[in-house]
Amino acid sequence: MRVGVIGGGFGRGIASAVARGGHDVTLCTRRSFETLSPGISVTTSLEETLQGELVYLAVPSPSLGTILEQLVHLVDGRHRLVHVSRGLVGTELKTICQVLVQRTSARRVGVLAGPLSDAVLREGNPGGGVVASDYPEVIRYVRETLGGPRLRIYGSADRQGVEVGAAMTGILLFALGFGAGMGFGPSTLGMLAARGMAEIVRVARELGGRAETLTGLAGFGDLMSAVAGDGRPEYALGEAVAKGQSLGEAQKSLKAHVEGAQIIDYLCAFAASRRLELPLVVALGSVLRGEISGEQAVERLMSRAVGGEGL
Amino acid sequence: MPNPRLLFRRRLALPQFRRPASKPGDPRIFGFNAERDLIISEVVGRVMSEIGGSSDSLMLALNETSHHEIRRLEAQRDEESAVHLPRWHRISRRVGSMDERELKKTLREELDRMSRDVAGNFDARVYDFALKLVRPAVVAAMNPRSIISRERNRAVLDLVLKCEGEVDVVQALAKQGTLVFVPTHSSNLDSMAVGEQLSRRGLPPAVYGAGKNLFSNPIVSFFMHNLGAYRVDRRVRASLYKSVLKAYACVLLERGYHMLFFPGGTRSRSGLVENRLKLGLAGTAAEAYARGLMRGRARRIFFVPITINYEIVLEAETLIEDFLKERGKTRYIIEDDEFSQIDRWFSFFGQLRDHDAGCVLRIGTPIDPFGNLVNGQGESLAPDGRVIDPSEYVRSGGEAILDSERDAAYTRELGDRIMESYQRNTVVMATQVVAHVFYRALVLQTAGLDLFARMRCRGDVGLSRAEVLEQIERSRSKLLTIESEGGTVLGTSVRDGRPEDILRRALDAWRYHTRVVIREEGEELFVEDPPLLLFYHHRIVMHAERLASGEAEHEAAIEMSRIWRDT
Repeated sequence: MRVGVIGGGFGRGIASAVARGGHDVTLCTRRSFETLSPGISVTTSLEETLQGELVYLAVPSPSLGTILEQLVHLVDGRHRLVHVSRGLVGTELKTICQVLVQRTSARRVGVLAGPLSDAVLREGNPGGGVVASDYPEVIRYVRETLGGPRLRIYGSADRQGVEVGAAMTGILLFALGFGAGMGFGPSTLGMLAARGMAEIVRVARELGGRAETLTGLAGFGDLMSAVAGDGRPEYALGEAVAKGQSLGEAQKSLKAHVEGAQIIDYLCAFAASRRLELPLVVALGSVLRGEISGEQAVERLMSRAVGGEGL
Repeated sequence: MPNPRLLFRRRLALPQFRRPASKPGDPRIFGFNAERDLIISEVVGRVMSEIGGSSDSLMLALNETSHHEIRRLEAQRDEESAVHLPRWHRISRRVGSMDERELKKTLREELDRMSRDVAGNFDARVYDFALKLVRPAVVAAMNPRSIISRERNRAVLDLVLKCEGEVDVVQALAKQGTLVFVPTHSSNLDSMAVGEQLSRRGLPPAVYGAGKNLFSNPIVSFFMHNLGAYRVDRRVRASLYKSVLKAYACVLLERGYHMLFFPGGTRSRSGLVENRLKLGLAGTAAEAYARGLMRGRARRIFFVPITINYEIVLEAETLIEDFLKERGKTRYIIEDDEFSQIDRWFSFFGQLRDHDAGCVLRIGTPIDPFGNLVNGQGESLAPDGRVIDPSEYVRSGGEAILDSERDAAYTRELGDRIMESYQRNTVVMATQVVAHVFYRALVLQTAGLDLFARMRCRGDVGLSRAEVLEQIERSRSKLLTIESEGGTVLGTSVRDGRPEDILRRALDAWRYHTRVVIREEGEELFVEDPPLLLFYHHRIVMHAERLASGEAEHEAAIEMSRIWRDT
């Protein structure tokens, strides 16, 4: 099968895994690579990348808007688009799949998520991910092209749940880094992780997703992998912010960005309009906007009435 | 002696002295009767092949159907039970010992019976008569003393019933493919309003499904039987019946019969514009299109969203009562409402008479089965205006294929697009703006009460006339902004009228209802009927947050619009 991949960072890993399965890959990127797996041809032309039916969008959320502007004029009903972004858009928290369907004429869209790292994709370490789509054929295409003897691709019909999980675990990771930066130990962080996940579940449910999806690869799987040190920068950024840097300064000094940072404001607005209990997200938003200190955030969270451990 | 009403539930047809022949250029439906048997046999064949030929699958289908049918008929205890129950008991007893040939024969017979029960009839004489009847009947109801002439009927009806939007585009598309009209549903008058306007605008008649309960009114039943309506019995739970309905709709679409579905399922009990659509049968469009492509003669299918907007709704009182009673449960069938009371018809039309544009049909931009907008040439358009090839949506590796899960997902997407079209094309009426102002005041003045407690607040909440007029003006100005963004359409009376005219128009229109909605006492106006205010306000509740000013109104708006999100 001819497969297109847009984006040279994470996209390179996807291209490698797909090429390993014997498929022809067109990788659209401006980067140049010294070595690439056989079967991958590199191009800067989106038209060329969209020759096949299946296209992976592996650009980071901030660049997605720019790419989308061009895709609007190129995509049609033939394409199956699968994104790996960790974004939610606007105060109504539109998922990237929803944006793709609204802005382009593609309908068969899906999301790939879970603890997929370079080590798994490029080096072939055992691993797994989850692909979610309303279209079973999209799930089948991803399994056929990306899955292999050492890469297990699970399918899910809960697109909303997977997209919310992918977008919000980054925020939770940031919160955990923040907690560690304030000097809290594993017990505090354990509570933070569990209550944070409860908030993710509430958002997912409000958007039509299922709670159990978040116990899977797109939720806990992703979080555990990041906490175990898969190289995602959110934890370190959280630590740096807790120690007094602004988010901008921390991002600059660590040469990284929090993919989900901009959605914290959206989440706060969403929580207010839907009357949704998201105390951790709201407190984090207040800290990042400089309205309260980390200590005040902790005090606010700990002084809340405590009830049943419902989600 | 048999109940005479039952006679009308049977298919009453006018005698045929010679076989009617459809002329070239007649709408497809004029040739329906000649094709009826072919259609039925295709439906039966398709469902049979879906079930498969193994004894196990045949037995499972018969067992499942007999189980559901016996339960239903035993509960019904009516004439239908007397006829069909013994047969199902017999099948249920024997199915275990039937060989494959007998299983097939029995299943085929039952499918044939179901298909014949579903399939409609079309009589061009009844169609002509119905069209001639609707106008004078409505006009006579509006003004019984008027001298009835064709011109006058048309003039009066033109005044009350307006049709706007993409009429020209739809007229052009009717010649290029199959149209699927998908209107909003507030009243049993909707079918008549749409039927009358389709004919008036030179659009072809459409085949439509009607709940079996509608056949309880003998006059309506006669027309339904003979105007191509197919019967849907919502009490039948057997999945075999659902397959028959689905195959019937699919075959009709493939054969180019224009169709009409109410995707909201039933009339909107709450008054909300439909925001959850049941595109079950309309969902066969993607399959019908794919089957056509596979046979090398694809016929395009175009969905035409229509909003039907009433200043007052004939059955509003019963509908909102039903909504309040049954919130949390589902009750589909109301047998006895204003629709079956002829005096309410007179009262309704009599009130509408004084309201030009009291009913507005607004036709939205047509959409293909995959959710793309379609232009007058029948071309599907990408969001950037490019012409795209719709056949790509059903191809895999270049070949058109059938895939029911894929088509179900397309149908959900289509449903979202139709819903968006409904919102954009909802015509805001004076009654809705005024109801919104009063209902918001009710919420603000009864903070902490739940919906049901609030419904009992009769005469407790009042506003001064000056406040009401100021709030109407404010709401209108915000609605104008929403309209300029393409979010809705304002009715003429709301767009151009002075606030006092908008208020007067609403209060006059509500006189149709048997209960007082707003009581005027000098310069004070009091809420007398919260349920009816709720019903009319619901039509624009999706804009509640944008219509609010200040924190308190905003909080109230969040509470009010919760229903829009949760429904």
